[in-house]
Amino acid sequence: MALRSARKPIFYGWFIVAAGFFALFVSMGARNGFGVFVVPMTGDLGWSRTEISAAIAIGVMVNGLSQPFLGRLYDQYGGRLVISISLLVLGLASMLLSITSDFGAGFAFHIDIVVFEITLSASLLFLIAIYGLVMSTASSGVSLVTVHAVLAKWFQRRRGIVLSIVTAGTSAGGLILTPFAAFLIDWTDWRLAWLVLGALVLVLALPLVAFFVREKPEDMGEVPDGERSSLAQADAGAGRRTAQATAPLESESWKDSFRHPPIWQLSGAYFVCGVTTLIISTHYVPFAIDMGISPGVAALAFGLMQGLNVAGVLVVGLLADRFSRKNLLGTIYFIRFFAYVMLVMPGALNYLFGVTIPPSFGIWCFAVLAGMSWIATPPLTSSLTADIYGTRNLGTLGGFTTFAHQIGGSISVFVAGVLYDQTGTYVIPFGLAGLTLLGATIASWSVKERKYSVRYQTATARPAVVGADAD
Amino acid sequence: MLPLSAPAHHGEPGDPVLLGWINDQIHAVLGLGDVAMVVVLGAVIVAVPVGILAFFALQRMRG
Repeated sequence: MALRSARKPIFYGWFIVAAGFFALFVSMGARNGFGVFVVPMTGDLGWSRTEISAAIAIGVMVNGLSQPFLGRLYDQYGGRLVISISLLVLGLASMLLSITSDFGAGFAFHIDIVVFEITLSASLLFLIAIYGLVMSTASSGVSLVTVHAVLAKWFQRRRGIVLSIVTAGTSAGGLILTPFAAFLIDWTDWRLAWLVLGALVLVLALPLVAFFVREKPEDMGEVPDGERSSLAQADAGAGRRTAQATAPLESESWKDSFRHPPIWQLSGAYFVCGVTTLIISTHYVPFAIDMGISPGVAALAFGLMQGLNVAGVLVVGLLADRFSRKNLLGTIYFIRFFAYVMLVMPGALNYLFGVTIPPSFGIWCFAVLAGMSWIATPPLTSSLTADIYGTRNLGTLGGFTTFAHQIGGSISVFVAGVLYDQTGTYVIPFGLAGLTLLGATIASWSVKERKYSVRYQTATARPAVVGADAD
Repeated sequence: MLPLSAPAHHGEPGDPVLLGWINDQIHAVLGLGDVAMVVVLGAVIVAVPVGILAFFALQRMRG
């Protein structure tokens, strides 16, 4: 009985982790799920694949461009307001997509854009406005940038695992909400499916975030990691005041952050991360088919890769709180580099020397190695940014690194397509993408974590990190 | 050429052909109809926030 009453309550920060996980789960799931709407919507509304792809491409671009601005709004107005409003807009916009149609006869005109033709019908304009602009901007407000920034204030010692858990929410959302939307479309139609997805955001995610999210532990009478009681007792016993170490490069203005190398190193590495993940998203299955793998097996390997990323990010999260984060980040990029070597090696040996290695060997090796590293980089990048620059401007800085990621991804998708058209093989674009990972590895390993990270500062009696081995 | 891609870090839309294939595989393995799959997956989705709120309420009741 005495034991039961002495049980410590759960630290409030964990409820914010749960709310953040679910917000990302639903919002990313709704956005990723757009793929299952492509076929029924193009069939109903008479769009071509190029036209709906243009709307999606605009969405990807707007999402990348708006990340720093939404991050800045987060720094000014706080996570609860920005994430809640973003969820509200995202939910309403999803529901609005259910009424997509050609409003009025004759409202259509034709434009040619260099390499492809697009007929800008009213329904396509509506899709571009709602999905490409509104939803994609709102997605930036409820993203890894804002959710990581909130949680970085609540957790310092366990920052690695916490940010990894919520990052896994993005993947879990895709795994569950995408088939949910697909089965719903099969059962009913795409219009009702959009209504239901919007309702999930408005009825489940929005109230959860509005209810649980608080800006910082002090708002709830807590301290980061919920170690108030033990720390306070220890400090009281030792007769000293509790103090938190400050991030060495924390500054009033976000602009000052760019005067030091770490943000450039992290953004440069994250740019490469974008290069090497989006090229896979778009060209991996065609590449595998080109290598003689059947479409079914190629899709299965891709599915394995997606399934493994949740396990990978959680393992990395556990390690991130025990070891040097920049070493771990560099190692992940190096593992991904090795995955690319395995992927292109059979094709390269065949292309250069006529040596034959079963291409399935490279495809499966890549699926395992790249799958484990796929979403392991965002929590480490966010953690390091918070450790080095503090949490005051973390939204803006996280938005900048994410912007670099999206730019890298967009460039790689385009360049890979051009190179494939020129050379008739994916070996060269994939080989080049793999090589950029060596740069990301070096950039990450060369971050002076021991000098700049709050984990290695000694403002309090509390040990900053266990078993860390940096620089 | 355009990024009609499968999930990356930041939620790009999935490849419709690949997603269709995955759905077919789920159908083949589980043998459940569309309605059953919607109910099962919907229950999983709703269970997450309900579970969080229930756990929080339990904590508050314990004081």
